[in-house]
Amino acid sequence: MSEPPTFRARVAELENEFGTHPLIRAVNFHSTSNSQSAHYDRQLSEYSRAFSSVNEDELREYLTTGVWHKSKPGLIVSVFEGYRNSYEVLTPLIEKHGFVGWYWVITGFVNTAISDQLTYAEHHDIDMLTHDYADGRYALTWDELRQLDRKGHVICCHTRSHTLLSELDAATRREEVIGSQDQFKNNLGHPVRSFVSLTGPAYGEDATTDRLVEAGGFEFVFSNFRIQRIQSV
Amino acid sequence: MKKQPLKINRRKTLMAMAGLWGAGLSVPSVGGPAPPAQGHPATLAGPVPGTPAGDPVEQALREDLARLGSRAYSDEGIPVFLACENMVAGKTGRPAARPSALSQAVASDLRKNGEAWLRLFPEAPTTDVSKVIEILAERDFSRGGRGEKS
Repeated sequence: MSEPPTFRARVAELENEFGTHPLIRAVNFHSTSNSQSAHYDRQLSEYSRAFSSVNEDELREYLTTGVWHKSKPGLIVSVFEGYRNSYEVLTPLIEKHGFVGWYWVITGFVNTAISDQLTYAEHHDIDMLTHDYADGRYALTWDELRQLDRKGHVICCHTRSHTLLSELDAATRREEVIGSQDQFKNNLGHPVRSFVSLTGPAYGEDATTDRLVEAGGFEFVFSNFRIQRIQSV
Repeated sequence: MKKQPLKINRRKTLMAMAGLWGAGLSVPSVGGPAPPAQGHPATLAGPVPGTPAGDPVEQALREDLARLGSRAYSDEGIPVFLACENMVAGKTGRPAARPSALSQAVASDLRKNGEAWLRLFPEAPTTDVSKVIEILAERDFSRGGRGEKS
């Protein structure tokens, strides 16, 4: 394994990346407990004064033209992992302030039986800062995801089980990427267009993952500080 | 299914596009544990003795570190910039989208603040880069962007 770059080298790399490509802003949420809802409300309210919503078609246009067609710059509001509280706490605020939510779903988490969800979270790097739900359900349901989908939010793939793809054998890695996409097809009625795995990699950094992401029909690959449109879908 | 090699409490680690302030680790922009840290990560203990006082970039970084040090990354919305690349452009023969004024400004700020960060923390690990970017994004978002359309 090669040595990771130094701080200076990584700054230079990202300076070049940022300086040679159009940029878009994003805000990343994970668990959004009800105790913090007022804070999220203020944060999104502030952002709504300066930034506008982004959906995947708008992202595609921006990536293909470099021109943003709205009066305010776009802001991708990402919500990671598939927490139940993202639907109950954050989504009403996202909608209140006119944004589109991008829900990065770990399909294995959603598919786990309620009684096992806390254990699943513990073993899959899904942080549980608060235990707000007496019934034990901490993941979104597919019905909630269908509702978000119908309302125009973006449902995205965050793999099946939130594990490092580079550590997996070929068959398991395939399940993480294509197997997860199959879950979206079966439960939403259509594939999803955006993909990100735990810690990346970017498209072009791992050939095996690249082929799987292509075969899965994903249009966008998100990674560290990058969005790549890899194919037309 | 293989367990992740790093079992890190999310509250103590950086998550997607966030930095770890208290324990001095940072993670890549998107979802997961940090790569192995090099050197000594930045902490709130202060800059290296002998750093010239009064450098405005360094002072601003110190102030932002202090202000953001109490963040619970798992429970907050963390701002970030993402560079957009249309890899289909080359395949279709169309030119790729050009960088904007924002691109140039953020790149310049990253270079300037990265240099200042190294003066403050000469042994900063690679993972500290996420912290710098988070600070730049936080500043940008809090002032409502830069008045540009994109």
